[in-house]
Amino acid sequence: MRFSELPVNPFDDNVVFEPREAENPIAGLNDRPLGALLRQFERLEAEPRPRRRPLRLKAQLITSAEPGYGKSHLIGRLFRELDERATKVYLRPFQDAGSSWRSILLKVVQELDRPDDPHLTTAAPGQLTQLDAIAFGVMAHLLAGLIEKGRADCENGAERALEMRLDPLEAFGHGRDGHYLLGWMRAQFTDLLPHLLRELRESGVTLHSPVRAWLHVLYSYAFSDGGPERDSAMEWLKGNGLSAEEVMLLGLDEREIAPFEDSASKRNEDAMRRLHDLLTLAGFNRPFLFCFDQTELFTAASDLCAEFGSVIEQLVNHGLNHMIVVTTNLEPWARVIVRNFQTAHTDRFSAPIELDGMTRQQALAMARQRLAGIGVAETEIETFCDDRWLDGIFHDKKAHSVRAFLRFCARRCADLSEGQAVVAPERSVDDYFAHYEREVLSKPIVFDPDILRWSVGEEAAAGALPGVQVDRFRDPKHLFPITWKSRSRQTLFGFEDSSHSRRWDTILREATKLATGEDARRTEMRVVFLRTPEQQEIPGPGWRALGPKFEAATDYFSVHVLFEHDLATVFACYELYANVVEGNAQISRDEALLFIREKLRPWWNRLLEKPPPPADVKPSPPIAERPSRRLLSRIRAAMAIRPFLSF
Amino acid sequence: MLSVTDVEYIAISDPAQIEKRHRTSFAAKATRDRSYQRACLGTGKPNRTVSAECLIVRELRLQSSPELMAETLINDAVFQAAELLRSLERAGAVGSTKGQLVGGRGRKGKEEALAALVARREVLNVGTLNKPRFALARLCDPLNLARAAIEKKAIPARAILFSRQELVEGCSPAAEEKFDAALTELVREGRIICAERGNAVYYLHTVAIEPLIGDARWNAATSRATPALSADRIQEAYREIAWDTGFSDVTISELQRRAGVPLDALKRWLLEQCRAGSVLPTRGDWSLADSDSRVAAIDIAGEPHLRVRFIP
Repeated sequence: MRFSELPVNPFDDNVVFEPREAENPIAGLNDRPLGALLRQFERLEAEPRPRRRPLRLKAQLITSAEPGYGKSHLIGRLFRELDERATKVYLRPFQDAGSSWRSILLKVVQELDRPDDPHLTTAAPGQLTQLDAIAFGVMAHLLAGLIEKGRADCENGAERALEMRLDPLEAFGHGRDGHYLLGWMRAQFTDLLPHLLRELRESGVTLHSPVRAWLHVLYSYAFSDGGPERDSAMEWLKGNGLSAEEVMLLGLDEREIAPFEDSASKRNEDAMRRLHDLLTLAGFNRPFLFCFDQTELFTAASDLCAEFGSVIEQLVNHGLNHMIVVTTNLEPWARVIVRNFQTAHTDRFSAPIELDGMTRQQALAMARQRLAGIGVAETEIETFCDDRWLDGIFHDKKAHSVRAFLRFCARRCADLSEGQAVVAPERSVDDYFAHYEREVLSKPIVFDPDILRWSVGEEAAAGALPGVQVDRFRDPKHLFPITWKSRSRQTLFGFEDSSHSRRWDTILREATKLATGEDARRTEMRVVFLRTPEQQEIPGPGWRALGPKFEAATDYFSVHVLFEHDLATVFACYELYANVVEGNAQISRDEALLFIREKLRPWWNRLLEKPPPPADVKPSPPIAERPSRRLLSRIRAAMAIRPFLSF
Repeated sequence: MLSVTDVEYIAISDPAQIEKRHRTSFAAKATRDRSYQRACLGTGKPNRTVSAECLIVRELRLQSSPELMAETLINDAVFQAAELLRSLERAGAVGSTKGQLVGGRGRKGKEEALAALVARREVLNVGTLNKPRFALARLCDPLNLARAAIEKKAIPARAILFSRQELVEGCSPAAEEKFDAALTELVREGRIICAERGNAVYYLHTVAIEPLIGDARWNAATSRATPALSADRIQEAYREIAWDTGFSDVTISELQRRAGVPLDALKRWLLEQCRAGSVLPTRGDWSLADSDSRVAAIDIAGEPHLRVRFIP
């Protein structure tokens, strides 16, 4: 292929959007930082299972002297190198210091529901997830313990027990139906439970939630036929409340589920404890790897920086079986983030592991790799990689960031393509937005309270709507963290992951209190909750007692579900903002915010309007006939379509 | 009652509406407060005070909780601040003493308002700590103040070497903030010469040695134009900074400060080292960099680079 025939500019893609999809590394580039991380991780694997010894491994700080040195790419390489040795969690900054742990736990559970195979980025039916691997790991080690102690009969017991410990996934036939041990567990679980509980207690691990509940939840997730049990197990893991049917489905006791009336701080604390439990259970299987990327977004507020320091301190001091990797650009880290930490928290980070720039030789290899990857002819590649061109780039600076070099390449590619418009490098904010929109639409979008909070919060919306003042709001239960206040009206925004009727009963009650309180006499008060389409409908079809209350509250309470266009716009705007703050896009923060406000203004105006009265809705099918969310997501993934269809 | 949001909106959207809205909504308050009446109604057209007041309200809004906003609007401090701003406007870049500004009735309120304006950096102290003199920030550039103060101190009747501390002592608090940038500029422009003895660095104004240069000009051709940079000293300074911060990429401004070498010469030396491959420049983040770092940045292929990493 010649340059004039190129369908796209192969060098425009210069940001790693999804670390699991990072392209093949260039020999020698950032091998040293990667080696340092792998050596630290090996320390976690030294102790035999179950690993209970607190190692207090410091958070590994990866720094980049300027944007584009390959922080996210390094995370992708680390994921690939560790393969099945780690449970991998990719985290982006939380946007509300008061619910930091809830945000982290939600994303951890979403990550645990991703494929265990590091080469796959989207779930498909029948694929094992990371949470399956944890559940099989725990069960295999407990069973092996029973066999070794003679509490369970097994032919070639010692040998089998060892096999189970060494490869728990293989021991359960990778969860495939028909495997004998899987079938045996399903048949015997009720009888086995007391023995498994005893084994777990004797293993010396201590958990915050009842061990019985943990075993029931892990069993329900990994050993059930799928569907409602897995959904309910996920809800329990996130710390959300469960209905009586879900409690029964999981075999739990009412006392083992999260109360609905807890305060915000208690819910946040419970989320932290649940995460610690997960880390403790990881001692039976494999350590967690937490990667905090795009930490520059914490610079939006000092309390976010301080809370991040506190989260890291808590994880390092009290969390077992995990390694944290924090990636950051040097300047925001040194000038803003660290300055807002408590002194003690800075000690929880390792000495900086610095990323390297790309040398001439590595740059040449990268240019060749990209061009060959898209099918450019060898003679054309030779022309492209002209010595004089490369000498010019590396004359005053012997190493460049990967992104800087890719930009040089993008310009050269455009020059060589004889004025073809399709290969013109991304320059304007519109180009960047279109790029991020494509990325967002390429995979299923799931509920992210941090993104939704940002979309109506101070950073994005302040000053964008005439006469509307955007601010933080403090209610006792921290249900409505953002307020839009104008002369005559106050609109409060909330972001709730739970779909349980009692939780929503609490929310509606608090909203009613506000809407009918003293302040509401002076100002019209409205509460809007933002949701995404993959979440369950609110109010649910079976909410007979609560449904009329929602109808009665339509004057001041609404649940706004973002559908296809709005959802993609909001998420793409956030990606644009995050990448600008991180220094990935060559536009200023102010320019990006100006653009974002123009894009979001129509949606914001619709949020300010009163929702139309509910039309006569045709009755939904009975609950039992409705496919589970998990099944829906798998069907969507299998069909490679976006999750906007309404089932 | 006019709300804060309205005031802000009016202030930023349509200045012509300010006075009209103030007439109707603040009539009661205005009749009670003569100074405010003068400010709002006296001229019959929107004046600077009203605009300034709206801006102050907007600023205070950011610092207040929603509950306090209404009170903030009619807080006397706002009106006191408006009065102060008007006085300072009249005083110009020379500024006024504290006595001139806060004397008379309501001293406490005026002092509070002045402190708030200083804290918000709308007003700067262009005098000394003991004898403060205040001026509107927009009327005086701290960098120029610092340059003037340094030159005033460094041009006595005869050639005298000054330490950095001695030069700082001649600056007002406002000028002191930009002292390093001003000194760097003066050195770069060749108005002040930087001389070293051991670890000490001294400064000498070229005007102070002008009469001596004529006598010594005959041997200028045989002497070195500028003292050679000590590479060892720069390396040592680099190692110190890298050790202190934990990062290999150090700001050029900090390197210059620690090494105590002229900035221009350091930049030239760094560019040579970059070409030789023994120093790697990095861009850093311009948006977060302070003015000293920006002044010290080296330009490579049209892009400023704030930091350098020495390759071992």
